[in-house]
Amino acid sequence: MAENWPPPPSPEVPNMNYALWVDRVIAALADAGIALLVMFVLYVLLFVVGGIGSALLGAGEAAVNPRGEPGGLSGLFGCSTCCLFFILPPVSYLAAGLLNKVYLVSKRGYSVGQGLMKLKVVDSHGNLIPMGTAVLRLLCTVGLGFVPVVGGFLDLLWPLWDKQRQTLHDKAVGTFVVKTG
Amino acid sequence: MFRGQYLLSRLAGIFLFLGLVVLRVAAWADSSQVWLFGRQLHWGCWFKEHFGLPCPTCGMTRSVILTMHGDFHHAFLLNPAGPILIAGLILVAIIALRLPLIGLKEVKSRQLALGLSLYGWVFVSVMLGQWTFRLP
Repeated sequence: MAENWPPPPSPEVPNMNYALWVDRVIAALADAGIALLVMFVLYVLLFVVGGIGSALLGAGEAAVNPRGEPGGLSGLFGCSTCCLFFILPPVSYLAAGLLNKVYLVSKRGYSVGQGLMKLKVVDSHGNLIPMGTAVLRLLCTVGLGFVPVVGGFLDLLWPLWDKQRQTLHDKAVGTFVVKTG
Repeated sequence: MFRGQYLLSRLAGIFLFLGLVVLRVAAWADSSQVWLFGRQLHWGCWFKEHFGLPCPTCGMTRSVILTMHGDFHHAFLLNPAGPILIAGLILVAIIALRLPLIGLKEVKSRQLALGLSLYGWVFVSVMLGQWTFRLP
């Protein structure tokens, strides 16, 4: 009986025009620009909230740290502490990604950057991906970015040696990026 | 993957292992200080200096170095993300070195992608989790 069953669907649809790596990088840079804007807003918010909190707690302009440098409100300008560098980028990417990489991609098939480069995110049958898959794809992208030293680079460079030019986050959820224009 | 990528993968694995060996040989730490090539480092945390609270990465340098010297207990107490970071780097180095031997089929690359992103989230969750416990 089992011989009469239809074969399982092929993981790839023939004749897909997979996007070039360069196009994907340019689209990713454009999307990163949006995340950068969100990061700037969060940074300013953090400065304002931190500044108000600092003032309320009584740490004013005259406060100095153990090295004798000015602390308090003035110290909050240009806060380049390691944890901010570590936490703000992924938080901003997640926040921007919920609209740009989840909502837009599941509704119309492409983010702002991908739209500029005429790219489209599809599943193995060439259809738009559901919102759940888009969320998982975003979480995988951010998760790979958290892997110290290698994660982000590996994800970015993977299409260079992949037959279907998929990134690692595409591999994780079985999506493909194709050129439409 | 074609031959060039296998070579790149092996080089990346060797580079990662060498980095860890150099860290093991050149750096030393106890629970409060760090030495590099025999010289004590006087690094401070901007966040701690200004707010009097530790940041999520506080203790990470000491934790990583102590892990490399096998002092897992103190490393874990300083920052549990340190041993996880070293374990992840060793695992990635092993995968990079073994890739030319095992090859990379479609199924394995999917597992690698899911595994790495899960590891990334675990690493950050541990780091932020221990930080929230340390906050007064």
